[in-house]
Amino acid sequence: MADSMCGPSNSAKNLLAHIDRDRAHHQDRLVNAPQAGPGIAFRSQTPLANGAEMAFGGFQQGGAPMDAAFGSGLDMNTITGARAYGHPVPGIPTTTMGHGGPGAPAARLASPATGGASHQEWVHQFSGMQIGGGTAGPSAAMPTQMHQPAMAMMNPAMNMQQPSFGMGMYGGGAPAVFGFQNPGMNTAAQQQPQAAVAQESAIDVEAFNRAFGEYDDANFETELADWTEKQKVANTEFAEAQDQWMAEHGPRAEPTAEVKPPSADEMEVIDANLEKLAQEQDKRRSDDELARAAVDIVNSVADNTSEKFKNSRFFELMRRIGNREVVVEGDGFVNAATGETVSTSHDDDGHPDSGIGSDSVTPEKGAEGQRA
Amino acid sequence: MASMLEFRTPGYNPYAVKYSPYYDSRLAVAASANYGIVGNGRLFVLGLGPAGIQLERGFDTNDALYDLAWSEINENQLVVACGDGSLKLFDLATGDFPVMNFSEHKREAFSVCWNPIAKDSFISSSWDGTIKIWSPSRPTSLKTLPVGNCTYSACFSPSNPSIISCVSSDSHIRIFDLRSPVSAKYHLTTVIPAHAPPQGGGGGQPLPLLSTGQTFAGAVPSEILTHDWNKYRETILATGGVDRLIRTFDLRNPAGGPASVLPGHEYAVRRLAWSPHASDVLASASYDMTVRVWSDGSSSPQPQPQPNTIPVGTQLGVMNRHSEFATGVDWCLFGTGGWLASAGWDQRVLVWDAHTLLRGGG
Repeated sequence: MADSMCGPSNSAKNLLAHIDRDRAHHQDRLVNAPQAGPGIAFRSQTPLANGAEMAFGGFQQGGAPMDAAFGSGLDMNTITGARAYGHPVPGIPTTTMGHGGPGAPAARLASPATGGASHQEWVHQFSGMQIGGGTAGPSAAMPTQMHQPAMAMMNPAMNMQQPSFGMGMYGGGAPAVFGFQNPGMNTAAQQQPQAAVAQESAIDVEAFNRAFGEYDDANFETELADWTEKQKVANTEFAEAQDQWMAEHGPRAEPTAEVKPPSADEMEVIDANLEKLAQEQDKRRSDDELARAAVDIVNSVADNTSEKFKNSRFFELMRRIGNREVVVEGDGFVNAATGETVSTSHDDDGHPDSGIGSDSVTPEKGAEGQRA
Repeated sequence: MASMLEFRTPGYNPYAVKYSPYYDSRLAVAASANYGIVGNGRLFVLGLGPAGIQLERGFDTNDALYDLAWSEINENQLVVACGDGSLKLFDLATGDFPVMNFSEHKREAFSVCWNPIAKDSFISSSWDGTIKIWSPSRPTSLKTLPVGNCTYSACFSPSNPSIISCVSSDSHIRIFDLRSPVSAKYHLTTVIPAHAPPQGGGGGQPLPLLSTGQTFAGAVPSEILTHDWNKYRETILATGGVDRLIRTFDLRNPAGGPASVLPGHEYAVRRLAWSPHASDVLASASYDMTVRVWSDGSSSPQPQPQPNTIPVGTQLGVMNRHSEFATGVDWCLFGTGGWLASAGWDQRVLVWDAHTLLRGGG
């Protein structure tokens, strides 16, 4: 009955945490930061995101074909991406791939809060920029009014690509996450400021706001230019490193050693090792589950101050299991440090058995009740 | 309190205690090592005598024991529900091993109940989401009823051998009638959402009130862990579970919501038993380490029922002697009435007279 949606291995949980973080507009400067080459102004740096806004505007206004594609695409992301990888991994920068495709579906989900009247302005900027700037890419070439259905149709295909690009896992979260995450922004240089922001906002949102409140525009532009430069270098380095890796490990790489199938004897050893590994993993998993359950159980009565619960040997055992002092070994519990068997016998308990002292008669009808 | 007899089950934490339907001096306890988390189980058969409670027989099992039921057709036999999903029939007159082993459930078998009328069959419920009907003489089940949720408790109706009830983790009571045709619903005739407030009156109806004036807080689904049929009023049953409330229902009015609510337990209710001697009295054992005795209020003259109001029963007394979770409680069928056996994870079985709890003594 394990529910993978509830487990800690799912990236959706991590992504959900992001939703609670600061999503004020000044962060958009960072997360929607430029990623393409020079000569393109800051605001037009994220053409696909703009397209997404427009598309989302259309979606809000009831663009049916897009609606359908949107739904299936999102599902596909969630299933193939989130489950396969567990954690968000850096995607390949879209600029190095030569087209904007993989970024599009994710970016389409960005900035859901915008739309309406203001997005029209963006549409014009966007379409002008696309033609003037000559940015390659299937969606960019579309006329504005064609954009929505075209993207809708392209969407499933793009989603199919996503897992292989490592982009799919962003689908695990709510749309709001995407605005924050900036799908294209995955190089180390880009992630640095974002990480800093995240940390800061987690520690002290007020300090964060103060800092960015003092941040005037001029200051921002110069730093932005500086940062863009650094990012370019980082992108290049990443692409080089990637090329190098592909040359060494890719499908066309020279095999470094002759690979032979293992012999029967070797297979036996391998099988035995795998079996052992699987058992150890099972054991660890069940130990973890038990410890987690024990902690939950202890926490569930944390507010109970009664003597009985304080002195309960069961809860004492749960506390020790939760602290990993006691683990399951064979058919019983043992002390994790000493290996001694932990007795769960209540033989030495003193049970006072005199009088009716602890029993009680309910004084009046339903007196204790209704807390449940 | 005049007297309270005690028996210890050292090393084993009881999950259930049941009086024999044949002898007033015999009871059995299903217990598990290490609180049922890991390890084996042990079935204790106890006798009450002048010297207190004595162990008559003990049966060891390889897995935890979660429930037991005395045979209604053979005074020496009883069946237990095991953590490995099997059911084992033990005979006091034979050796240490079960005389029958019924192994079909794929997960923990959590309850067993013998048919009190037909006496030739018993049922089991399991976390695998099924109820199975068995004959004690056949190793394979006679029938499987799908529930689809962790089914914590299944019972035969005490007045009709063809009616089976169960409660499960989805907050629903299900009634199966074996006389109905096996349609797509597998004899399922009634489904009652235990958390649902009374129906009728339309959409914008406010939450129902309890007769004490408070708002009914039990309108949220929660796991039901136990239930029992009233022994006198054949359409009444009571449920208890994670939301700490005991509710009674009248099956003649499945959409009518609870016929009464008994609030008071501080944690989940683990076991319920209607009195075999009084139509309005029931006992409950809870994770709050108490056993409580209640009246659902049906014996006293009913005031004019108020619309959208659920009657609240009366708590007659609290037995507070267990020092760990109270997991089992059962009424003795014989004598003057009022004798109870309770068992808890403090590894103790206590036999006591409920009259000592009641107002004004017994």
